[in-house]
Amino acid sequence: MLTLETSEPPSSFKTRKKFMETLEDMMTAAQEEITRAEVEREPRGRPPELKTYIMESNNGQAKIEETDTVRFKQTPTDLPEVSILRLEYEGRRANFYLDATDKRFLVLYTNDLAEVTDKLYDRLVQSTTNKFDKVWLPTEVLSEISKISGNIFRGFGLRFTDRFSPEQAEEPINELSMTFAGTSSEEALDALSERETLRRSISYSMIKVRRGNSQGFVTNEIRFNGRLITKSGDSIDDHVSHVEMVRKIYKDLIEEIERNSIGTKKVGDRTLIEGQAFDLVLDRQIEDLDEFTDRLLRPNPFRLWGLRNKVFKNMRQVVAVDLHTGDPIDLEIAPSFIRIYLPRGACGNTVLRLYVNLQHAFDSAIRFNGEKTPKVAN
Amino acid sequence: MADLGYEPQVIEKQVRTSSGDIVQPNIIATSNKLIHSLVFECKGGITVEQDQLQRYSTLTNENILRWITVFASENFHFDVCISDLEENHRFNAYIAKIFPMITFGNNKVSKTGDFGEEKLNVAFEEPITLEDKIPPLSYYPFSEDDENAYIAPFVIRGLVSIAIKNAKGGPSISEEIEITRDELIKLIFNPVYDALSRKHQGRLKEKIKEVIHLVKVRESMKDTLGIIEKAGGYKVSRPLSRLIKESEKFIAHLETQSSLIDFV
Repeated sequence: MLTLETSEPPSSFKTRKKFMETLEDMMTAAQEEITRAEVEREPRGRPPELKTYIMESNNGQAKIEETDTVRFKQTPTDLPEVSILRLEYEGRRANFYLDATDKRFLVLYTNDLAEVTDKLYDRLVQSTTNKFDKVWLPTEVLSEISKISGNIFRGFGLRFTDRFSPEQAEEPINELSMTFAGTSSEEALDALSERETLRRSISYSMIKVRRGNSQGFVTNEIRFNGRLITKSGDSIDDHVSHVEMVRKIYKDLIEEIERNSIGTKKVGDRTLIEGQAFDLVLDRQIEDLDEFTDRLLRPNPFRLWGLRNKVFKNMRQVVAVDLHTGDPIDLEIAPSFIRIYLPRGACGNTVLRLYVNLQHAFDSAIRFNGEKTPKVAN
Repeated sequence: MADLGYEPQVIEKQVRTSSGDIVQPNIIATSNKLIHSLVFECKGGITVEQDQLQRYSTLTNENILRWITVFASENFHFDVCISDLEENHRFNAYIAKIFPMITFGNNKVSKTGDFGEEKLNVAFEEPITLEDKIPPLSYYPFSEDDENAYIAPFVIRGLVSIAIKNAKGGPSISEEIEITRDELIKLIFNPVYDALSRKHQGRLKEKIKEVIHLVKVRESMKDTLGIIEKAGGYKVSRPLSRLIKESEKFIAHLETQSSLIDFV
């Protein structure tokens, strides 16, 4: 641990209420900066919005540790579950409030500049040393969040980059990136989904959702990788409500996946097998299994390493390791599906990371166990 | 079968029958919806020992209930089912007079004879097509009869897995870690290893040790992984720089070897 020369944010709050008020001050300061820039017509780059990152801690096993590249300093506050985390990488530094109320899904709050905080956060979660991971929100889960009572859908962003195109040259053959804002966003999405050439490329990179009332509100961008950014409003209560929604829905999903992992249970003196494989059913067929497998087994974005067994002409067995946790994971890849075997004790985040990144890089119409939303059969 | 609630509960477990004989079904799948077990004996060839069929005919509810879990044992019933391959079925078909049979072809699964559980007769009334279906292989990833080249990826993956799990200081920094032989063998297979009989575990363990030895004695793999055998376990240095290339070369090498003797 090193001493980083940056100014420390407030740490003397003795109650959750005070902590929330500190976050509210961060949000208000950001909004005042936006208003000032608008009045003076002198924008000074991107305003320092309140940003919240939700990260998964490999079921509570991850620890923040010094790496070759990311330096950190962690300072306790008066609240035992909240600390101040200062990260530094290649001369860039930023402060975060780290809320470890949920030991598995840690929350980082900051209003330092996104250009810096995004890079630092990426370095932190990509380090094999720390074993943290982002949360990976499927398109249909983001859609469900936008429909939760009290939320008003205000727009969306799409991002799809075909990483598996056989003829892939320097530039991807198929790439789609766009943002829609306003009340007609849903109609625009319906229109796009009906286009045959686009229907496998409709993956949410973010949704924009408003929550609150005339006394106070917030409009957040909720991104597919677990980042929430306040775009307008100053209600910290509504911002944290969105954070809690995302965390709760994602946690339920991960725990359901892990309950179905392959393992054994002891009943008396007997050992019984339980669990099931997960099938990702593809709408777009895999044309070349070996080429597909080669591209899948890359550190970014899938974070998998593995070896391949050619079992049948139309199936490859992939004996893989999750580079985030070191957990083994077996895949069976056929032209129309990918079957995933998660062993008991392995992190369920591996399954959703693979699923969500395939939505953004191969086929957005992919279905989890044949369902439109990720449900796990009991 | 999953729709009827069947799940595999016992794999390759020796079961003593009411006559004092022993049978070793490949799988006992049990449905708590039907309170019924299917006791599978799988035949890859055309030789079925008459003695074996006789031993299966002495199985009772009590013999099976000793090893499986059902919610209501008073209604429990079971069927012994002989499974074979389509190309051998004409030699084996006579068995259907004793036990119902499930036959796997390239494109379909079909039934001969009748089950005691009527819902199974309905489910298998018509052949079930296997067109565009791929059997799940990784619940039971390999057996002791598989080639070394097939098992080698699982062994290498196990070694890489423990190296990453214990990594500190980033993937380029070398660090030694240790694991017991039993932990490593379970990691190389998968958690289903715990459900196998001790004899079955023993056979797999010997086979896995044989492949670990092949990895260990190959100089390039040894250098890449830094694997050293210790009393009761192994020590592994961190990978990963040359690992993929070396692993592929090693597996290709094994594919050209027919046996351990050839290799060494």
